[in-house]
Amino acid sequence: MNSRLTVGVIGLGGMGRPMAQRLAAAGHAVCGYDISADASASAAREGIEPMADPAALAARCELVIAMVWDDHALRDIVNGARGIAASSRLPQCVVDLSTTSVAVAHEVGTTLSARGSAFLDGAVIGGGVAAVKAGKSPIVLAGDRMLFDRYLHAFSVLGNCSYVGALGAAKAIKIVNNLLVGVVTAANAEALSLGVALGLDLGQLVGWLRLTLGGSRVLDSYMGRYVDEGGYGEGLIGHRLMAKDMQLAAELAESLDCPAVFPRPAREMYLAFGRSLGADRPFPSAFEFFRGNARDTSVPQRA
Amino acid sequence: MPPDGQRGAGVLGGGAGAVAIARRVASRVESVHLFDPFNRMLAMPDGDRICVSASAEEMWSRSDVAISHLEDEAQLRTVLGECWNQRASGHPSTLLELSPISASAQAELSARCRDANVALIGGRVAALGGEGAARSVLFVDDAALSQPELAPLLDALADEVVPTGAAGNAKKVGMLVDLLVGVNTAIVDEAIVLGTRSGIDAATLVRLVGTGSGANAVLARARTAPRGEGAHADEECASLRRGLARASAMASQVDHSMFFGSLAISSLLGRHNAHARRRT
Repeated sequence: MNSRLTVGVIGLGGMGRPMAQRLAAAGHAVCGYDISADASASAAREGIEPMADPAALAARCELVIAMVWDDHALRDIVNGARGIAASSRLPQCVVDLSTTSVAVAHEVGTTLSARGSAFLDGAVIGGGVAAVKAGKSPIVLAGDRMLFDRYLHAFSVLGNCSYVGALGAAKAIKIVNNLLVGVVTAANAEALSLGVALGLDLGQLVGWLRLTLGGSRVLDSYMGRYVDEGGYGEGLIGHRLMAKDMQLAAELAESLDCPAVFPRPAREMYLAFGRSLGADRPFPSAFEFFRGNARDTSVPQRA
Repeated sequence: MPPDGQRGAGVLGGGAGAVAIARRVASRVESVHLFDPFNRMLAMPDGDRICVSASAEEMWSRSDVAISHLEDEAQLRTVLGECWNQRASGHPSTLLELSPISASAQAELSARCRDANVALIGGRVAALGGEGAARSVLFVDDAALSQPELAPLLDALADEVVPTGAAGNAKKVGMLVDLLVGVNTAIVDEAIVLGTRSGIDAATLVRLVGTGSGANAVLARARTAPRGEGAHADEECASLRRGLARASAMASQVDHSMFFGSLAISSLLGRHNAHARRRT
């Protein structure tokens, strides 16, 4: 039954805010909380009822969706002094769609379960802000299957949802996806910079490589757009967050005794990109880092 | 077998790639003369239009156009050295060079070929992306388009022909493709192992990530043809590492970094060693 819910969204940034807007547009009552008072006030102008803290939001909502920065932020909104777990009345279901670790998914799930609230872990695995706004993001969710089915009508407002198994599975898929995004983007950046250093035209080269087995969605989406428009696209995370995602992959691999050559060096590279270009510059700007460090100076070193 | 003296296309090389080339071009010329200078022919080509030549001289003298597809620059130098010594025959007039050599090696060999009145034109065949059957793209220097005798062969050599401009560019593009395919293969391997050890079924993982921002052509191929273990996988792994090593050498020539290519070599080597340990 597609009932009208009271849904809380915690984290009203680039991804969380359009999610809240879509839920409101679908007829649900939506409450919002963000650590930034400006973000809450801005969302309030769009019909999202601002709440003073996660505990107050939790007391009002049947379903709570978190879209926050990292593990620390997720723990804070759940276990903090005014976190969800401290609420007088807990929601039926809390869903974390942030890019956080498998370990924290289990930890938060245990905490909320002990307080009588259920937890699903989830992730948006593609499409960026534009797809979230259009409700077309691929979304994976894991945990209690019955809970997933019960709230699927609300989740479906946000994108194309797939149930992927036991708690933690969605986070693992997200971490794998972002490992691929991070490494393939940086490797493309290095290869394209090399191509330019060899005298090839960047636009033609992107077009040629896209045809081949070396092609990828990041090459199409980010470098294709850079060539066409001079930018990488809307709402992309910066080098700092991509470094965090590489760290998540490294930690997951180490926890599973899984051989993984790429994650830690990729993290170091994203930290280097951030130091050179700005920690919050969109992560595909790695290309500019390699161009800036190339001997050939015939192209602009900093776009 | 075509009659003695009939001319056609020569193919230099004996690996699977050269045999595939011979098969592809056989439909467009009267005869194909295949010469394997290193006796590494993996399978005898079939079809009446394909003849195996006993020497470079025989292949060279019966061909209007030749295509070389050798493993590396050293092999190519050896073979062309023999051919240059036979310049009196006057054939072929054009050599379409498809081996994985650098642009600078192509330029040097091209100058030697000019002395022998042979136009050397560079190209590289690469796998096209996308799911489905293996299809290929031929990157080729623009000069190929002004050689009428090459016209029937270019279309036969690949499903798509892409002119890349100045001499040497096709080799550069081919090496960059090798670089990206090598890195993407290595990271996809690592990602799939990480996902499966996390409890996600490999097919589910590949399907779901294929809808996400991490999608890439190597991952899409894994969906239809998962990489296994054994001799074939070992050979593929070695071939990827050779491609990465060539790209690394190319980067050194222009003092450019090769950070992710080097990681990919380590990753592929680690995977190879792990498989070898399991087998023993």
